Amino acid sequence: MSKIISIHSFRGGTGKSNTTANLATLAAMQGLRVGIVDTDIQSPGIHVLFGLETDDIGNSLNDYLWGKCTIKEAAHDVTSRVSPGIPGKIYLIPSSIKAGEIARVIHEGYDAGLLNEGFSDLLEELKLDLLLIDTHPGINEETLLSLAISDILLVIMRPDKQDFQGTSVTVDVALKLGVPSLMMLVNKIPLQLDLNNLKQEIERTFNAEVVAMIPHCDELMSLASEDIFAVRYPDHAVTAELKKVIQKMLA
Amino acid sequence: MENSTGLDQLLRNTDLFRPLPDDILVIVAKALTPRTLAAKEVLFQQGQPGEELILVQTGSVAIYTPQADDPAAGQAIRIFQPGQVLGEMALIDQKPRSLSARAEEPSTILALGGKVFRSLIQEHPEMAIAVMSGLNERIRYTTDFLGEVSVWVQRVAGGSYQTDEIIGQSNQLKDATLANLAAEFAQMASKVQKREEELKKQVAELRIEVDQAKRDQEVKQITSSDSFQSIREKARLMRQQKEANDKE
Repeated sequence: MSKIISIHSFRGGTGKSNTTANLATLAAMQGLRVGIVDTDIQSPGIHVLFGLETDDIGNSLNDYLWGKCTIKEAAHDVTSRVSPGIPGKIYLIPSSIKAGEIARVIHEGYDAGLLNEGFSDLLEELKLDLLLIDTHPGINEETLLSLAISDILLVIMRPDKQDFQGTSVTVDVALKLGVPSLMMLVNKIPLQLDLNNLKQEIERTFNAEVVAMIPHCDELMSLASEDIFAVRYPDHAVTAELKKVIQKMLA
Repeated sequence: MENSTGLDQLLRNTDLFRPLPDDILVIVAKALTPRTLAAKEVLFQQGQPGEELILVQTGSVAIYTPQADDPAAGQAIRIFQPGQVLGEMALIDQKPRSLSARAEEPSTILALGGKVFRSLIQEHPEMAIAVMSGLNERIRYTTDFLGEVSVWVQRVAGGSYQTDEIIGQSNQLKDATLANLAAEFAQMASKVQKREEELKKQVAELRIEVDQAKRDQEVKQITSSDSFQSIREKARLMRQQKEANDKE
């Protein structure tokens, strides 16, 4: 059975795109067929992790939303860019990184219903096991619909005061939307924090299951999105923690 | 006699007396005054004039820096085992005792008066050399000792508290003093480590505070809107559609 997984955070800078790219890669390494839709149309970024430049991006999600192409035509097979010999597949549906097209989307908005039809088409036509949706931070109508149709919502937050209030609202709203499964990933945890205490504190506050606690990691920061962390550091503790998330998602 | 054979053996095993010819050893043996010490009994105090040299016969004797409030207590600098000699420095330089000495357990010692000691040295140059080599050995010992302590100190200063390693090392140390110091050092390191960890924990417990009233109000604002209801309805239909597709 295919699963749609929204990956969301209330604020930017939580490591959402990086985590999405790594989860997709780890799933594909297990032989799964994975799609990623970058719905962060206003500030796209995940294409960088897969080494896609402006010229490599033919059709984008914007083109699909403007009726210029089918969603399948906007899907880029980036599997071999990640690492040769991955048994699964990784398809990326990027957002346009052209300033004019970003401006147009911000100005005009888009039909969220069409976007969600696109998700079903992708699952079917590319025979995906997992479809990961990299959402735009915050709570707007388009994001809410993506969350609403997801089988799993993965909320990423940092242990930072700026993230707490907004994340608590996001989590509550998601539950009212009827999202069947809600998981939390705590990212960029300062090394001196007590992990057990933090996990309890977050589960108590947000009333949701924490599936991964990822400490701040110098190797990850210095990689600066040049590469997929899980490929470069397959045996790292952070990679092991992300693998656990995949197991939970597939369970 | 068994006793004198035992004494003879003890002197033969003592670096200081080993070079002496048999007939002189007999004289030395006669000049020695035996004394029994209870555990923790003070043998001499720091600052007292040094009148005799001590040979440990049984038990063990420590030289130590006396505590101001308790002259019988203090960290042992070196522990002397049977066959080892202490107190000869004061006899040579005629200065007051630089440290105190006490029995670490019930012990017997043999004391040799300063007068006999000095005449032995004058008559037997080989004994003077033995004294010198004894002092030499003490200098080397001190250097090694300080070297070892400096390694431990650097390690703790660098934040690595491998107390297991220090204790492991202390078990291997033949020298009772170093072993004793290593054990105390390991104990200190583990106390420092524990204190540091507790301090870290205090810093590290993060309290997450959320304004519950504001949270509820914002959630209500979002979920009570018409568009939210329509999104939820749309999502319900799409999910149904997907389930139907999955079943096909």
